[in-house]
Amino acid sequence: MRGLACAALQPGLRSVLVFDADPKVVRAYAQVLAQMLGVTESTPKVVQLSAVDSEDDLWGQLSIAPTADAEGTTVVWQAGLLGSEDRSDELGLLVIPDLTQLSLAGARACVSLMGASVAHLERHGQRQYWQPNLCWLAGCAKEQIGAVSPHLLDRFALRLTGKVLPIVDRVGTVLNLLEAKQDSEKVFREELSSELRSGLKQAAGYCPTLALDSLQRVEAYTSILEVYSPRRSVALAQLTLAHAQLAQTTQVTTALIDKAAETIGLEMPFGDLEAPHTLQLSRPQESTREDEQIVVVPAITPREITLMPDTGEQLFSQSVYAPDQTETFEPTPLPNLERPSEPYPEDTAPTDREATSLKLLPRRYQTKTLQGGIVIGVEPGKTAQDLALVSTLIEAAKYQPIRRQRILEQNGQLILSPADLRCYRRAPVAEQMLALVIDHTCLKGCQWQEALLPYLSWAYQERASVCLVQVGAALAKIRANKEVTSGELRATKMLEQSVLVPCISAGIESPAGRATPLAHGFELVLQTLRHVLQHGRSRMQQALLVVVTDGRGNVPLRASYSGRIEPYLPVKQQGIEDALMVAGQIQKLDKVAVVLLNPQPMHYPQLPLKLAKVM
Amino acid sequence: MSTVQTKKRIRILPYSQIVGQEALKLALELAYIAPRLGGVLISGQRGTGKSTAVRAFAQMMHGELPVTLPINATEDRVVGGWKIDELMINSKPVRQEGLLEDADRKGMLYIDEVNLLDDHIVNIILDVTSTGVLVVQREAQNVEEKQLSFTLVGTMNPEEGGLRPQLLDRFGLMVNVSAEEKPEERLRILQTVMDFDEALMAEKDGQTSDYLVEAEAENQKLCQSLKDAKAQFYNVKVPRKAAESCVELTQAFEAEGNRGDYVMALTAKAYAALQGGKQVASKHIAEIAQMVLQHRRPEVMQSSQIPWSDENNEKVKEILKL
Repeated sequence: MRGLACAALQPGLRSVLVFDADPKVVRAYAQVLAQMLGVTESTPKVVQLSAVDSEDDLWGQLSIAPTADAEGTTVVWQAGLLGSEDRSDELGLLVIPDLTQLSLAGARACVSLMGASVAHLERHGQRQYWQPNLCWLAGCAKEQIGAVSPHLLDRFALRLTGKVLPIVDRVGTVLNLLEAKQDSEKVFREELSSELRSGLKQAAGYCPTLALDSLQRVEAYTSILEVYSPRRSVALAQLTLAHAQLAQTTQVTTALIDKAAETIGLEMPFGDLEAPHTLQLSRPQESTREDEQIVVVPAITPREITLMPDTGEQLFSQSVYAPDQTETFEPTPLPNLERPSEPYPEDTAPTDREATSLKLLPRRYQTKTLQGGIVIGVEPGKTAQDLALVSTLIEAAKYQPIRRQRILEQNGQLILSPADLRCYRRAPVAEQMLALVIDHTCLKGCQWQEALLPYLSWAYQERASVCLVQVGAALAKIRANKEVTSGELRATKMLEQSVLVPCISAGIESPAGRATPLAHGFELVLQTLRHVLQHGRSRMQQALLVVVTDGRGNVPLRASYSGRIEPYLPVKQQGIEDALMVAGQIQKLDKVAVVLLNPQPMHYPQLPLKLAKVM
Repeated sequence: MSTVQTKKRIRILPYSQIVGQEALKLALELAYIAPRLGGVLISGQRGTGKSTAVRAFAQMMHGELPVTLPINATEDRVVGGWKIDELMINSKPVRQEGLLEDADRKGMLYIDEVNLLDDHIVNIILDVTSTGVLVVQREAQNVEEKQLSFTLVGTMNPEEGGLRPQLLDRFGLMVNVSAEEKPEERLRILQTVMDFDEALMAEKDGQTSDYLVEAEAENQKLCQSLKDAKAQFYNVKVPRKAAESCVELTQAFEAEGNRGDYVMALTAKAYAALQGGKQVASKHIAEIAQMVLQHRRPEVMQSSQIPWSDENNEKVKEILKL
């Protein structure tokens, strides 16, 4: 909550990324932030960006409207979600509930606008440039951060946590909710208290500055990060200024910098707390350090994240900058949030996106009749196939007055020309799939990569999508008592648009685990193949299933479903029989070619052959 | 044309206040002194001030923002179309010039995030920059061939993919920008940004900012020195020995095509003019060799992320006998 107040006070912080927040929490944050912006600047126009926004939706397009005398119609420019017609300084709050689901056009717009000193629009006869006055608020799960371009993530100055802590007293909570007089969601719709409004207003009147030693401390925090970006230093400096404003002081203390860093979860090595190395610059130093007694910042509990001005009293035995009058606002009942940590997870997260994820998608079709992906825009067309009717009519409408002068006998009918034709631009959809089932427990000592390579090359050449089912891959965490976990009893599945997505190659190379849930692996691939080949208006023409296994499944299907297995109970043939049973179902699918790569095991060498026969 | 712009003056960090990034600044200045060298591609990590530097340079030299081709551009705005207001209200077909013609008039076309540009738009630009001619045959337009010439400046983050070799070749110079590593430089960057923010706040409150006044004076001085260098450019001689060194370098680095030879000599001449020299010497060529050669190496045509190494620098020195 304090973070949102900082964003409202400092324009440089108005790109906020909230980690692990439920969409409900993101909406709540948006409502609070909108009200805060209303206090510090002006009430923003709130716009939500989604997974289906096209460039025309975002930037603007031509549209039909009545003429000034209301007797006819004309073509007018209609501004998109990202701005107004006259490019006034109106403040906008753009909310992205899930950054990983944002449309490609939306992501490209973010890169162009977020933190930019000037924005340009050159579309459909319009030429505009202006200074963007936008505030961004996006939610994103930390574990999915690898799916978002770091180029886009770097634009988010302020990182906050939105992860709600698990409820300890679940029974009590249920009873409280049942007895509550008000809707449990009403807390999110509450107005900001008058005390908070006046506090924010007063804070906005302060213009603190950072002395050289403060900048050094800021640099000390950001220079130890995995990846250095000047934007991170600037963000922390601005966050510190906002904290100073909230504390209603114009002088920045070391503790305020530490507090600001703590708000986003930045940590400094203990040794650096003592004395940041001094760097000489020409500017006169206005040190405030001499008066301070530095103590290690105590861990903040989630309950402390409330709307209270930071007076510095929590941190110092003697506060020399405490304002004369300290106000304590009523805590706003937002859910308990996890302590912020690791504000830049993209530095270490595995890459889960395609390379060049912000580029417009390449065309993969010989003929347009094979297209079937979602609409991502409109482009000039040469035939009437996949016609974007509205865009075509609007294009034609522009030229009607002139065409009517030239062709007199049309009785007011619309005159179309081939140059008006507009067709949809669609995201590519894979027409072929490579399904891989890899039993990681049987790969030791065999040259399986070489045998697999031609199939991966095929997937690349055909631009096929890839389904990777991992059987018996090692889990990151194994319980200390070595008990088999439910995760080990189940196969896992990844579904990606291309074989080039890095998680596919990482998945193929995974080390071996302890169990072999082969039947469950076949079950997963069976479900996936059925879905892509038979579901809805599927464009899938062919699937190639490549299985690498010795056939020695040792987890019965029932154990995979339940996630439990009786210890020391011999599973006998059940795991193998279940695998053969599901494999038989795969054999019945149309349009699936199956290849089994035999690792030629020393034990039970007939098992892979038996499996191949069934499939 | 329907043009809307913000009523306020858009303030960009003054060019003279940009900390570090010497290669980037040098490339922009050389492209100004010798526009014929064909433009600059600036490739670098996020947050290194690439776009800011280009915009600030244009504001300093021309008093306005550069003609900018954003990634949201549609074809009609690139090659030109019809003025829609005139069409609808007065039923008159009045042609609206596109960005390429605007860039021809003002001398420079800036493409932000050039590697994210739609392939279709890239094809149009390639067509115009390689032939020097714009021909429009669309939407019932029949525009006579127009001779166009402009300096292409592009910025990109290589994390999001490279450029096609044909487009790469259109840029005379290429600069790789990375974040400053020295702590004192990083601190100066942070201080500069905060000072600039403070100055903007003061200006917003109607106060005169000493910071901006001083920066403007420094900009004026720098601007004049670049104009002097541009005037001096035609007087700088390129001795045969220097031209031979240029060819020797491009041969040694197996640069694609012959354009590299000419760009190398031209850039060295511009650098000599900037340094106040009367003729091009080996030391001038050594200073600019990297920005001319690095994107023309055959291996870079396969992957644009192959960096220029210390060995490359040694090789340049060896050839130039420095």
